[in-house]
Amino acid sequence: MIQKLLNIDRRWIFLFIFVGVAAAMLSPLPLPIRPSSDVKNVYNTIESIKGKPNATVLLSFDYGPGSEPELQPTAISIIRQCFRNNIKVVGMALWPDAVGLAQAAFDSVSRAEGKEYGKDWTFLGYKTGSVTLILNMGEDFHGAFNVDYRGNKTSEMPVTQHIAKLGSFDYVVTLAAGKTIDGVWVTYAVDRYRIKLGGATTAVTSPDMFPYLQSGQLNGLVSGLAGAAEYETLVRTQGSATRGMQPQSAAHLIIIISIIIGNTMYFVQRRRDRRQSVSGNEETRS
Amino acid sequence: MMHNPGSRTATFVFAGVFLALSIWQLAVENIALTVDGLGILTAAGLTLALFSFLYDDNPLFKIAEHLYVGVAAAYGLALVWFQVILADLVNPIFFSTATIRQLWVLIVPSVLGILLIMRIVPKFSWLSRISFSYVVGFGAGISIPAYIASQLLEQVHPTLAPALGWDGGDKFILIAAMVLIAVAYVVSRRGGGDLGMNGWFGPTLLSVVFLICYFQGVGAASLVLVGVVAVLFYFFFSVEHTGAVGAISRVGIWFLMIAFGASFGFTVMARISLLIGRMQFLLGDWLHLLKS
Amino acid sequence: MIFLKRTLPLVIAFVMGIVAISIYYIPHQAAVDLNELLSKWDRIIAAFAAFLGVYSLLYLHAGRLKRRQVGWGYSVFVYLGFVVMLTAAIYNNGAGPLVALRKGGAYDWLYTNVFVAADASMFAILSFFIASAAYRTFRARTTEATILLVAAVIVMLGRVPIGALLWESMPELQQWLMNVPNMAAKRGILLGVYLGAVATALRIIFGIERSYLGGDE
Repeated sequence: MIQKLLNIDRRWIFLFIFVGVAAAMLSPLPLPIRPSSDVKNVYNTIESIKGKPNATVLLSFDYGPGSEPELQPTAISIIRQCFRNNIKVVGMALWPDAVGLAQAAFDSVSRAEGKEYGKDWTFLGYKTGSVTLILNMGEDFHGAFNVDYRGNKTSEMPVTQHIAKLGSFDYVVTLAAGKTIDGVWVTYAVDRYRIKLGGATTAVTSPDMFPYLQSGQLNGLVSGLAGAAEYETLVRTQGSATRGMQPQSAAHLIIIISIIIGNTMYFVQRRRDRRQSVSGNEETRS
Repeated sequence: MMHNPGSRTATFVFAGVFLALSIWQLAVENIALTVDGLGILTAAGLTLALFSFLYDDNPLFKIAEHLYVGVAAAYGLALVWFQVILADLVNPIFFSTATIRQLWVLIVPSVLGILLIMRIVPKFSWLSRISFSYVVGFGAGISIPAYIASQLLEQVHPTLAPALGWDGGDKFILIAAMVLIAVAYVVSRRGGGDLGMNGWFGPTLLSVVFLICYFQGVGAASLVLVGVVAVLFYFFFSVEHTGAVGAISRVGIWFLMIAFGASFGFTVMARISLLIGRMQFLLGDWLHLLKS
Repeated sequence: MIFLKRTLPLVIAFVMGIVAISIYYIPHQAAVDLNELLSKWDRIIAAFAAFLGVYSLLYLHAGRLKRRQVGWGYSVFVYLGFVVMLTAAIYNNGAGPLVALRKGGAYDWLYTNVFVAADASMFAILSFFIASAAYRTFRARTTEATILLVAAVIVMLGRVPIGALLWESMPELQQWLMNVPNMAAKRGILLGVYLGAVATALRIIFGIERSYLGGDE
C-alpha cells in the first residue's frame, strides 16, 4: 500500500495542485498582507523624491511573459505610485519579450490616472547589447535612445529633455526575471554612474539578491508575487497579486503537507524493509 | 505519436474541453466574436494545448509549441529591426542630414555586423571572427574593472566592515569559532575523530546558535563572516578537506544547504505564482468565473 | 591568410580588451567619448546577431522538412508562425516597415494572444513538475538533506500570509534566514564565481581562451 502511494502516478499530484489552486481562487478568504522592509524601502524611496522639480524614475523591464504574473503587478503599482505623486516615469527594456507587457502596464495606469504621453511618461522600448547599452546610457542618454518606441525624439519630449545621462534619474528600478540586476545594473551602473537602484525580481532569482541588499548596492527588493502583493498594499490598490496570495498560500500548504506525507511513508517503508532484511538474514542463518 | 493511447486521450479530452467551454462562453455572450474575443479564445486554446502535455505528450502540445517558436523568432527579429537597425542605422544614414564624420561612426559597426552575418556562408565564415573578437574582447575588457570594483571589493567590504561595531554575540561567536577550529586542528593532529561534524551533533549545535542569535537579535555580522569564509573554504580544492580545513568546509556545506533550501522554497513559490497567473486568465478572462 | 583568420582576431580582442580596461581608469573626457563610441558599436553589432539566431532556427527546421525527419510536420508550424508574425510586423498596421512600430494591429494581437499566452503557459507547466518532485524526491535522507528541507519549509511558510497566521514570528524568522545564513552562502558563491570570471576575461584578452573563434584553424 505504502509502496503504491509512494509511486503514485504523478498526474494525480498534478490534478491535486490544479484543483487546490482553482478552489482557493473561487472561494475568496482575504488574508492579511504585511509589507516587509525590503519592499518598503523601494516604496519609501519613491515617496522621498516627490515634489522634487523634474523628479523622474527609470523603470527597466527585464522580463518576459514567463514571469508576467510575478512582475507585472509590481510594475503597475510602481507606475501608479509615481503618477499619483506627479513623478515622471521613463520605461525601457533589456529583454525584448517585455516590450508589449510594459506598454500594457503604462497604457492601463496612465488612462486611470489621467497622465499624458511624452509629458508625464514615455516608453523607449528595447535595444540590444544590455551591458553596452547601459554604458552608452551612462555617458549619453539621448545618444543611446535617440527615439522612443513610437519614433519620437527623446531630446524633444518634455519627459526626457532634461535627462542627460543615467545619473540624471532620481531612482532606477529594474524588474528582472534573469541576471540583469546583478549581472548588468549592479556591476556596470550603480558604482560607475552613481545611481540609486531598486529591484523587483521573480522569486527564483531573489535569494541571489541578498548580498547586494546588505552591501547597499541594491536599496530595496520586491520579490515575486508575495512582494507584488505587499506593494499593492502599500499603494492601497488591490490587483492580481493580492488576489493571488490566497491560492499561493493554499498551494504552499498542499506542497508542504505532501512533503510531510512523502517523508513519513518513506521512513515507515524504510524501517519495514530493514526489519524484513534482518528477519530474512535470521531465516537463512537458521 | 497518435498510436500512443495516452496521447490520443490528451488530444481529444483537451480539445473537447476547450471547444465545449468556448461555445458555452459564446452562447452566454461573455465572449463576442470580435478581434478581442477571438484573441481570448486563441490564448485559451494555446494555454490548454500546452497544459495537455501534463497528461501525455501529444500533437496539440507539439503544434502549439512549434507555432510559439516561430512567432517568437519573428517577434524578436522585428523588434531588432524597428528599434536598432531602423532607429540607429537606416534612419540616420539614409534619411537625415548627417555629416561625413557622423556617418562613418555608423558605417563601421554596420560593416562589422555584416561580417558577423557572414558566419552563415561557409566560404567566408572566418570573416565573422573579426566581429566576434571585437565583441568578446571589449566585453572581457569592460568586465574586469567592473567585477573587481562592484562584485569583489563591494562584497568583501561589508563582510569585514562590521568589525568596527560588533556586538557581544558577534565577539562570542568569533572566539568560539576560533576555539573550535583550534580544537579540530589539535584533535586531527593526534589522529582523533571528526568532532561529530559528520553526524547530527554539528548541525544541531549550529541550529541552537542560530536560534539564540535570531531571538536575541545578536551575532548576525559574525555569522555572515563565518558563513562566507566557510563556503570559500568548501570551494577551495587545492588543499585536502581533512582536519581543521575539513571541519570549516563542513560548516560551509551547512550554510550552502540552507541557501539551497531557501532557493528551492523560492522556486516553488515562483512556479506556483506562474500557475496562478495562467489560472487567473483561464478562470477570469476566458470563463468569467472570478469576481474582479 | 592565417594572419587574417587567426592572428588578426586575437590582436583585435587584445586591443579591445586593453582599451576597455584603460578607459575605466582614465578620468578624461576623451576616455568617456571613446567609451560611448565603442559601446554603441558593440550594441549595434549585437543586433546583427539576432539575424544569425533566426537563421539557425529556420535552417534547423528546413533540414527536418527536407529529410522528412520524424515529426517534420510540426516544423511547418514554425514557418507558419514565423511568416504570419513577420508579415504583421512588415505591414505594421498599414504604415510599412520604414517607420517606428504602430500601436494596435496584428503584431500586437499576435504578441498578446499567441506569444504571451504560450510563453506564460510553458512556464506555468513547471509548477506541476516541481510539486510532484517535492512529493516524490524531497526526502530527509541525510543530515544535509534535512537542513535543506527545513530551510525550504520555513521559507515557503514565511513568505505567504498563511505563515503569519500559523505562527506570528514566521515571516521574521524567514527574513533572518534569508538575510544571514542564505546571504553568507550566496556571497561565498558569488566571490568564487566573479574571481573565476575575472580570470576567464584575462584569458580571453591574452588569447589563451579562444573558443569564441570557433573551428580549429
